[in-house]
Amino acid sequence: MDIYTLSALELGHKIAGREISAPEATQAMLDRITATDQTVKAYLTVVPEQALAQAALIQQRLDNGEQLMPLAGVPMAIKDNISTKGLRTTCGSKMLWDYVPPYNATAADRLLAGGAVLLGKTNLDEFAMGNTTETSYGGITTNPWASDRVPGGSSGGSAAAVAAGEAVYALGSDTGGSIRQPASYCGVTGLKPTYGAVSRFGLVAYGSSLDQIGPLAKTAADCGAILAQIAGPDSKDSTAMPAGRNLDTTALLKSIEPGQSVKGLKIGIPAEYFGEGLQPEVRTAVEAAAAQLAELGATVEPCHLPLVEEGIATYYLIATAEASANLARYDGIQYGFRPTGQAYEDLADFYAQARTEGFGPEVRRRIMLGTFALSSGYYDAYYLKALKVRKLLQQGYREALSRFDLLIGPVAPTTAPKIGTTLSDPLQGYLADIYTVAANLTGLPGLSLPCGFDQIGLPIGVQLIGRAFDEATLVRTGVTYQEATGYHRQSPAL
Amino acid sequence: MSQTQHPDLGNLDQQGHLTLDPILVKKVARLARLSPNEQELDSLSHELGKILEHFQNIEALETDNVEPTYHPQDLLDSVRPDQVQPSYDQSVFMELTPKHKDGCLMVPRTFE
Amino acid sequence: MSYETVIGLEVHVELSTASKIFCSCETTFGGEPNTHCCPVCTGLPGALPVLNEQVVDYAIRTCLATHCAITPLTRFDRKNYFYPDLPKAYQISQLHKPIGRNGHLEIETAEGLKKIGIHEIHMEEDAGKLIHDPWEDCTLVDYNRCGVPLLEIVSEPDLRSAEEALIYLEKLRSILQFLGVSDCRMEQGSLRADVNVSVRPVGSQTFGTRTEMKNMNSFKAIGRAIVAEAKRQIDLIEDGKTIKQETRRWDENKDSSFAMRSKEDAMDYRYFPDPDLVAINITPDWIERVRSGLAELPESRRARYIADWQLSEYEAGVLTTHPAIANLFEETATLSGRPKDAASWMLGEFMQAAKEQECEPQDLHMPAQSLATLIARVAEGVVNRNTAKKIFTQILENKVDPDAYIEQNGLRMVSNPDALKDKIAEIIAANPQSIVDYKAGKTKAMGFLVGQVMRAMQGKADPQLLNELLKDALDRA
Repeated sequence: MDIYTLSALELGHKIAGREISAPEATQAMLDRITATDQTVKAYLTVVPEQALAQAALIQQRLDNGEQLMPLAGVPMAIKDNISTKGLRTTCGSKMLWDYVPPYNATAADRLLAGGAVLLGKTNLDEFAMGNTTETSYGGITTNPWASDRVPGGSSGGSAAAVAAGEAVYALGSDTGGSIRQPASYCGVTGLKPTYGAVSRFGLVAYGSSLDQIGPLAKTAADCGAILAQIAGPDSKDSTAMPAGRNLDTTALLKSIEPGQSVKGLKIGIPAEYFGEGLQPEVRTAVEAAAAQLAELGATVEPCHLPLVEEGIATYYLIATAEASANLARYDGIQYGFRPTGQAYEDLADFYAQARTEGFGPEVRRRIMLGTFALSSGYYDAYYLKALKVRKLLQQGYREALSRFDLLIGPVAPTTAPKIGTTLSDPLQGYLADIYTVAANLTGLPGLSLPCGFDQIGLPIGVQLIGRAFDEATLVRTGVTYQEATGYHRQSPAL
Repeated sequence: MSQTQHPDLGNLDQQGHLTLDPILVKKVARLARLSPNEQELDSLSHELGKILEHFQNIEALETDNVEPTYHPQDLLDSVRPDQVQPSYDQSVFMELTPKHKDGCLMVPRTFE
Repeated sequence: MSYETVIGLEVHVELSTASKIFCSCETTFGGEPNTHCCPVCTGLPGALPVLNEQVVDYAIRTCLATHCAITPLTRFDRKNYFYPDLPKAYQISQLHKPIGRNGHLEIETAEGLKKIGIHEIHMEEDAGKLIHDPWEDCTLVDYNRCGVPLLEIVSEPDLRSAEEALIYLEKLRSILQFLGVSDCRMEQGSLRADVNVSVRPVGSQTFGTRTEMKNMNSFKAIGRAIVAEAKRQIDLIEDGKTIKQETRRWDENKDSSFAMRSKEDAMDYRYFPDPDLVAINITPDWIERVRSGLAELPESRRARYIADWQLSEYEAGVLTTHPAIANLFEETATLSGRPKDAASWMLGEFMQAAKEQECEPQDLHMPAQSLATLIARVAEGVVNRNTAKKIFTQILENKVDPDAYIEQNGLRMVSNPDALKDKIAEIIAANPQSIVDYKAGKTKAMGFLVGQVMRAMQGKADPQLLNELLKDALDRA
């Protein structure tokens, strides 16, 4: 048995039972990274010494009988837009290439406090803006299933690392599909939690009203266990505070126990999620997954959702408007990239030089779009309009979820495209987010599960969307499905 | 889509796609403190034009009586008590900044 | 043609909270540069703001005192602009849903009471401090002030002269100080005002083009800037020139203003609701809670001093210019049971000392208990008024306890007639000319001799007794 093939809960169980030691597990993962990451290039930073030292410390704490989380000692990776104290957090950008945060993100802190072993930081689209991981200043990550294919994005490094066995699990972030879509392309399980379930403190902001941190792992049960550790109120995030609604972690932990059932669950299958441009194999696999759930006892019924196509414009206007302000702080003054040895006319010129050189083309394009949407004379027609359509969309999903426990559909219209084929036409790239952005606009939780392969062997994912803060039902359904199927157990030949 | 529908944005190119007025693109770039060169300006005019043209699919939606949504959940009253916690060490900020002097960050001259 | 000046004021006050508006760093003025900072107030990647509840409380207080309508669901917006004192490149402020709107203040002008409209009050964060470094020809940045809570109080253009503007500002300052929401120290920048000025022919119903002036650091400078700007605008009109809408910077040394370099992109701030913060629901209960705890405002105190303690309008007015003065006065008056004497000390010695030391009244060391004791000792005849003044100075400068100081320095007044008579005889004997002068009707001689005796007795003589005995002695001489 290779350690890197184990799920997080399996490995955690073996570490807790002294079958495998934390340093042994960490060394095995580091060896795997050495063997395969030259091809996959999932990591921007790997910290072998720190990881081994951490593993030794956790082993000692376990040996002392300390009560740690079920995943204590399990080696994992963190997307490089989640702040890690003393460890550079680049956001895949030249702008922050040497930026070392002086503090930990709350989600990272909670995992580390629970006994997680951090292997390194994973690649992403620059500032999480993209769905292929091709816009990173740190280079392209490849899909472990086919090295000429993208891993998806923006959490492409996290998804590829889990698929390649280079991390047992990883944290990602999802603003418009950035956990679910790469999970689908790489054949792993990814969960975008309800907005406000996990603190965003320390997550480098892209679209603040859409961003959520969540897990990518081999199984739905792993995702549930990781989420239980990172979720919960945080006094440092106004949108995840005790005053608001919070996740029921007891119910969530119950949902990962074996022997779950989906009997009696009502699942809606929206016709609009199977429109033009959907790859036939994706359609077939997703429909088969729905049929499988029906066979397991759920009721699956067709339904309708409004504004699925309009969601893209709504999402991009809101996300880029927020991003244009969130990324304004990167100006070469306080930290990060500052051009040297160049003359500048005035302060405005200094800023423009630092920002034009420090950001890549896709980030600059989105800043332009967002600045436009907020600018005088266009605010009402673009930004404000999008905020209103967002309300209509929310009403539509709320209405559907008053009749159904879950909605089911594809994650992405296609399987992973070839490297270098998407960036030439930005709009076409944006349109590929059609099935994922709604969960962010509505704040609802979404789970991406492996559900098959296309003709050339690329993984296909199915998406489940649940009610706000009802991750327990999502995870329970995922666990039940994965007990009945084997897609998530497949791994790429590397 | 006809040209007259969006006189404030730009013109149609040969393929019939919206191309943003370069003056507008320049204005937005200046607001965002970006300085695209001529070639980038040109491609931004086309790309942003095409994107905004597609985004006009939300224009027709009836939203007159719809309240804008600011958050996925209708959150209220996230506040903290007025209590002082220790600040970070000055050295933390000095280590982050490319240039500093006497405990301050050094930046291009701002005084006229 | 005669012109009318139209003035509107945008007043920024730093609130006296312990911690900053969106993080837990301290708000204390000064300190080594960049030592009151954390990832939130310096805008490090990933940091998030969480609102200080006390800021809302203080804002509600201010809205109540200025009769503003309070917005039930108030929220914050981002105001986007690039400048090195703003580390996030946006200021968290309020545009769409400010906490208060449509209020007013009543001011007393030469022509009587006048209502000045308050357009709105909003909460926001302060920016950092920039220091010019001439040696390196660069700017140095200190973020300590970043995130200190501010209220911006925007008046309607209802003021018609520099005098009215100053009366309004003084009134507003005293209200804010009495509410306990700000110490309003202009020299520390905790009260700042931008002034909008325009002129128009008397009788005109439309406003002229206005300019905005910044950088005035005292009320005096604001008054002078208004007068100078109105004159500049009138001169332009008279010369047939037009006034440009612009921001001008006041130069105190040159006693004139100059246009600030205009930004080409004419300030498109791209305000939008800050997604990192949530709406604040200001319930009627919350407002009532604040209202019931509201401090008594100067007007009500003034009326009370006149009615209960028989002070004059003038005395009551001066005593209510600052809460530290009013509080010290009230406490002293109550402790000593002698409000008239307490007022006299406050208006005389106390105000004099504050003026001489050029400090805010709360910075003077004068415990009410000490001042009350001093007043009591004078009333009891233990010390005379002159000695008491010296003790007052000792309390201020050396924080002495008045009773202990009187005993240690043997300052008790001499009221023993025999001791006085001996000293008087001595002095009369030494100054024969004075007796001649006195007899010749020169009353000044009497004063001279009192002074001599008092000096010989180190000021401790009971002045009334001394007068009686001296007169007696002279008449008999």
